[in-house]
Amino acid sequence: MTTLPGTEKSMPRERCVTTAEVDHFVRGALDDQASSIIAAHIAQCCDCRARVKAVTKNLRFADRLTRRLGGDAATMTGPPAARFPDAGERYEVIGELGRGGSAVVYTARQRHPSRLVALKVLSVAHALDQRHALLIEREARILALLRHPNLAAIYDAGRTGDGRPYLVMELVEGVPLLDHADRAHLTVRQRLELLGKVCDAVAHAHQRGVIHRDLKPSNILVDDAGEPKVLDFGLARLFDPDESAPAMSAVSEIGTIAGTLPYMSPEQVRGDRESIDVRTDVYALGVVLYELLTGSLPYPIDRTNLPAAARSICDAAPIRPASLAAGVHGDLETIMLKALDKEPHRRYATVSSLADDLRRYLAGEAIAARPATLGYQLRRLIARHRLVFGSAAATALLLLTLTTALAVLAIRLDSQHRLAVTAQGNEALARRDAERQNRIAQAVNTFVADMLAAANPERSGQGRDTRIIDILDEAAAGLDGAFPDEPEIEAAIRFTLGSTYAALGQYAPGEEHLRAALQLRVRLSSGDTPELAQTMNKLGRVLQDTARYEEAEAMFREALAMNRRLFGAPHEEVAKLLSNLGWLLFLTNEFAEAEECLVESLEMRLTLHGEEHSSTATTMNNLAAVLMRTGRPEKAEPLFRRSMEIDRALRGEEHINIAYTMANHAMVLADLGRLEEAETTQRDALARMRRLLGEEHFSIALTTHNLGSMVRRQNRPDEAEPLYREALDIYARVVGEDHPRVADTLEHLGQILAQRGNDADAEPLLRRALDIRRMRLPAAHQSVITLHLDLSAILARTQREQQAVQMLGEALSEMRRADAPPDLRRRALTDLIELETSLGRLDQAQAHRAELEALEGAAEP
Amino acid sequence: MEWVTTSTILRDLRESASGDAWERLVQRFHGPIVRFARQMGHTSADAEDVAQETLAAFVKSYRTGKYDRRKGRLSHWLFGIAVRQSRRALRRGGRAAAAIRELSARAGAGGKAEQGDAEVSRLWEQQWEDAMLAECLRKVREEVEPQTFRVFEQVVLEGRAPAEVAASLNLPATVVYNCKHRVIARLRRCRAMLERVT
Repeated sequence: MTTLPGTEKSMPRERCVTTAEVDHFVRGALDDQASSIIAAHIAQCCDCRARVKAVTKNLRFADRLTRRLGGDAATMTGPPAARFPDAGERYEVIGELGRGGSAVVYTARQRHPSRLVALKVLSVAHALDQRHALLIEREARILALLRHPNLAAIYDAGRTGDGRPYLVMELVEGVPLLDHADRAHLTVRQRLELLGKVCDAVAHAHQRGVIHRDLKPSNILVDDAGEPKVLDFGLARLFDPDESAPAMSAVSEIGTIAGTLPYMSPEQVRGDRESIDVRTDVYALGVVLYELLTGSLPYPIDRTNLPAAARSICDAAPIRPASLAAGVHGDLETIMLKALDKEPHRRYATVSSLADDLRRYLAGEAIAARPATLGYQLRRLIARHRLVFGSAAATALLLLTLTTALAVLAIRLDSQHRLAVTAQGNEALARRDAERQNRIAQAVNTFVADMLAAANPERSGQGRDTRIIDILDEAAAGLDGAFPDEPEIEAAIRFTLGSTYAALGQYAPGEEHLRAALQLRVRLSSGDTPELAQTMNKLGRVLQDTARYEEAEAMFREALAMNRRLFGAPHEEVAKLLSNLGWLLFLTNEFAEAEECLVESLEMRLTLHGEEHSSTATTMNNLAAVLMRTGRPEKAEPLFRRSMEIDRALRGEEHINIAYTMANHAMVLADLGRLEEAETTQRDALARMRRLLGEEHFSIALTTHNLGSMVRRQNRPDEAEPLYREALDIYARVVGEDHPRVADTLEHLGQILAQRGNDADAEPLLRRALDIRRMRLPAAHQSVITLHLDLSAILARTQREQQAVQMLGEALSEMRRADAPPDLRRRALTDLIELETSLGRLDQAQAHRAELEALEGAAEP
Repeated sequence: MEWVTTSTILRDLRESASGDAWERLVQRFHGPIVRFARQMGHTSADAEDVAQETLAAFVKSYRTGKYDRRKGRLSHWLFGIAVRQSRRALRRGGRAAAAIRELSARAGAGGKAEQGDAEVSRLWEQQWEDAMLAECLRKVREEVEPQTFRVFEQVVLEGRAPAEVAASLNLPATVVYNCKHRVIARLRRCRAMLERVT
């Protein structure tokens, strides 16, 4: 039994209960006192009641799930021994060694013969999926073919008591290859000798028709005697070594990507199964060799952004090893680059030939590989640049790169501007200026490169789950005082960091760095500069996203004026600010001026870039939103569609702009009454956002809310409710509970509950929504009045007619003063007349009826 | 990868004559039908045939408008076809009587035909539910942070104590509970969505 900390007697407490407490409460795991305290609170708090309901449903579902998985929920909280898979009487499970995609590996003791073994079992989460079970069984069959001192041996295989397949292997007690090399301070020679043994083991597998397909340093352990062991043949595939083409496996593959990104060959990344053969393992060993000797991967890989990572693997040339590690040049470099060639036919044909070349090098003999010709290198360089400039994607790494590129772009713009200014004057001064800017750009790029190097999960020690936010935090922590004499560099780096944080939805640190950058740049300049305008623009975006609209507007207007002075028009920097200001004005319901700004921006971008440009597409999207909001959905729809087409063509499917425009398109489809189509589109947009932005992002909350509204409009309030609640949860975590969008969601949720007759739970939600709106909007604003009307209806239904009359009267006064839309006034008057009549206040009712008739008379043509 | 709901499959079958629609149908339903057929006493090869014939018969009846989504769940419709195909194949192999006897014996009493039917229905429901849950687990695993799913896996599926999981993953206990319920809630939604026909 659990007690609640910090609670007294059985008084209901003010703090809402946590999910953990609700979980204990529902499972009856609390003592009587704690339970009664929670019960008392729940009786008074509709939010917590809803949470109890949800948790109860969750636990019921979890029971059903665990029953299907062969477990018994009642016994699943037993002692540790009971939780481990029952692999029969022959093994005693001691502890967990690790877990991968679909399997858990335990350390176990085999009884006969008595020895420690590694027991690999299909994880419970995959127990229902027969395809994963077949993979483990296939791994067992493959391992049975292999016997080599540098390969972990298989001892046994079978099924656990609950039917999951397992295999028992030699327990290798060692450390991963890179860690061993670093800890033992191995020389280059020792490292190469070690890798030679790894090559021998892999070649043994190849001779028996097995391609490993997932070679990486963490799958190569080195034991106390310094012997390497290659592990994990979970992704291995059988082929016929006597045939030139690989035989396809009898077992169907799961998913499209098999392997670990940084070590995957271009053909693996492309999903080109026909091309996967022993040279795929040669490539992976090339990456391992590169990392073993330089401490870095051949190119930075962002595991969270598959398209960008795939482009790096398929097109980026490896960073020259000699630039990273002294002593890795000449023949050694040639060996590495041959193993890493993008084209399988240009790599070593077998792992044995790679091992042979390594040994020739160690023996001081001439190697078989020859360096790539200059012509070949140039062709690759051209191919690489075409791709870098021809595409973009939208996850974390690319954002970093983009923001860096923006910083550099602004610096270049600045240089061009100054060069133009000084064209007639001091050439030397202009050149010095350009050099200075170049130095700043290089410093920013170095900073970003270092930051990314820290993202190498093998080095950061956080495994596969290193998050970009952690990398940013670490980089930011080292920034204070790092550039005491170079404020320009510090400003550029803080700008990059701030922009990246903001792009990932981390507004607080984003704002902090952007403000610091702005402060530094204001101090450095005596007048208008592109960097200042750029920083104000970016800070404006953060302020906008966190609903500080007035401050954001001031930033945008100041930056726009500065850019007009600096560049004149038409210019992309001016068009960008016009587009941003237009969007902000849209958010603050200043539709007329918003439209003016966006039309000017669109005209400018069409002149500068034509239609097929991402910036043009963005402004089209924004303008379409204004048209939609001002009642012109038929004009908005083609604009949204066109904007999406352009983005798709330019940026590919996996770009966040596609998701955003898709979400907007869904809204306009809903406005046009095409609700089913709208819902499908919105769900697609949401899934894309989740993939690209993760769970904790403002846009996820907003889109979830919008999806809820579409579902609600299709008369499915029960499905809309959890969507609204999910949106509220995300908002609370990302932008706090007072954001204007929170009020929208509370309003919709409150209305659903009220329509269901649950006034008691609806009222506090609507009141909270009203409080939030009152903070920012005038009393006569349509959104405030609507809430007054909803709340007064609840008051009337719950026998508080006097309060309802008072609330309606106040709302009506405000509407009269502000000349509010007649339909709202009509609704208020109609409600008021009905209430006053029921209360016997016939004179007031008569007066209001006269007002209503006058209003209706005025509305006639 | 697009998430394939029953609605998606039916829409594709209705609107598209391409192989994609068939492929999706097979991807989702082939496995459970084969496993069901295996439990009905078929060999692996025969079970494959039963699945193939069941799906082909379903597509034919769906395209000719015999299946009305409003009249019942897709699983029930497929079940009817699968049982017919299975019995037909068993009769062909002369194993019907033995298989039905075995199923009746498993049902427990008397070997009555109705109890045999109930057992057949239970086997089907079991395979169907397993396939749907496996699909939801796959989808949710893709959608949530790996750490969030790991917490769910250990606390809910492996029954480890939340405090123990919190300590092993270096997380506050409250986060463990939040992760647990976030994933279950998502699974619940996912399960509800999967067979919803719009």
